Amino acid sequence: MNAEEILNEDELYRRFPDVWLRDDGRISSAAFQNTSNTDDMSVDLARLTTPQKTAAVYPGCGVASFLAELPRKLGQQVLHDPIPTNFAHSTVRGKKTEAIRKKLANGSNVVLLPSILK
Amino acid sequence: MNLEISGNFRVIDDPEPTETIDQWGIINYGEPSLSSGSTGFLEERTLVSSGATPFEFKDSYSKGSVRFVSSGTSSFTNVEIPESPWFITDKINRIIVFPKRVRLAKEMTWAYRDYVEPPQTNIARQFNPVFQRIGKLARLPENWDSYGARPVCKNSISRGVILLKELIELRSTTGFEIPVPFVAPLSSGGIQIEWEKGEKYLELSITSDPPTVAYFAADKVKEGQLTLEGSLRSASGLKELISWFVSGTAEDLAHFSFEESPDASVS
Repeated sequence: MNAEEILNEDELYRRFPDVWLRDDGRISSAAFQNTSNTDDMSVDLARLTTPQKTAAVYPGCGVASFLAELPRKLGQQVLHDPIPTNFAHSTVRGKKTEAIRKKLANGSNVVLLPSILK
Repeated sequence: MNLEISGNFRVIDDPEPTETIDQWGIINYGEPSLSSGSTGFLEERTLVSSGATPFEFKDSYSKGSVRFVSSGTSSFTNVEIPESPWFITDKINRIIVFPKRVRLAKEMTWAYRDYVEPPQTNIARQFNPVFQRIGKLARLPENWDSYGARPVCKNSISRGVILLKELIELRSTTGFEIPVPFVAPLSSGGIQIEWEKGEKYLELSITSDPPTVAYFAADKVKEGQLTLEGSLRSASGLKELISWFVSGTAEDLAHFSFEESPDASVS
C-alpha cells in the first residue's frame, strides 16, 4: 500500500469513547495518549475515510478532528501508516507530554458524538 | 405582625402559626414594591403552598436568609433555610422552594430576601457523582478506548479515591471552594483528574506503573501560556496547587516551591 503525503491542512480523525467527553462538551486531554509502550497515537486521515467509518471500528465511539498542522507545531511527526483493514490509518508520532495532550485536546473538535449520547 | 424566615426552616419564635405546609412547598410572594416604606421590603403578599413534587435544584442559591414579614406588628419568626434544596427565582416572581415542614403565619403579606450566600452545599454530596464515575471506570473492559487500552487498575482507583477524599478534607479545613473535577480513564490503566476554569487548567494523572501522581498546571501570562508539570509528592504540594487553582494567579504558579523542582515553561 502506498503511503500518502499528509499536508498541514489535512484533517485527522481520532476515535474516542464517551468516557473522554467532558460535561462541557469538550474532549479530555486523556484522549490524546500514545498507544501503550509506543510513541504513536493512531488517527485516520480524514480525506480517505468518514467519521462514521472511523467510529465503526468500535461500537459507540465518537470522533474528534484536528489539523495535521497542530501536532507538527508541537514537534510531532504525522505519517500516513495504512494497515490492511484501514487505508486511512495514520500516526502522530512523538512523546505526548501533558502539555502536548492538552493542546491537542484544545485544538480538536467533536465531529461525531459517541452514540450513547445521541 | 412580622414573620422572618432565615437560615433549616426551624421555627425559633412562632407567632400564632395557622397554616402548616408539609414536605415540598412553594411560597410565591409576588412583585417587589418599595412604596410602603423605606426599608426596601417587598410589598405583596400572594402566598401559595403546595405539596407538589420536586423542582429544579438551583445550586447557586442553596443557602441564605429570607425574611417574611406580615404587616402591622414588629414580632417575627426566624426559620433557618435548609441546606438544600431551595431556590429563589427571578426578581419579579419570587419563589422559594423548601423540603421541610414549616409553619407560616396566616396573615403574611410581604417578604424580603435578606441576603443570599454562595453555595454551601455539602461537598461530599457534590463529589458523589465523581465517586460514582470512578466506580464506572473501574468496570471498563480491556481495549475500552478501541486502541488497546488496559482496564483501569484497582490501585489507581484506590489512590484516586484517597486523593479526592483529601480534597474534601482540604475544603473542610481551609474553606477552599474546590470545584468538582472531571475524571477520565487513561489508556495505561490510570486515571486523570482535571479542572478547568477560564484560562486555568489543572490535571492530576494517577498511574500505577510506576506509581506516581503527575501534575500539570497551565495559566495564561502576557507572553503566552505558563505551564508547570512534575510529580506530586506531598499533601502540601496538592494544597498549593488547589489553592492556586481556586484563587491564585499565574504569578503564583510561577513561584511555586515544591519539594522537588517542577519543570516550568512559557510557550
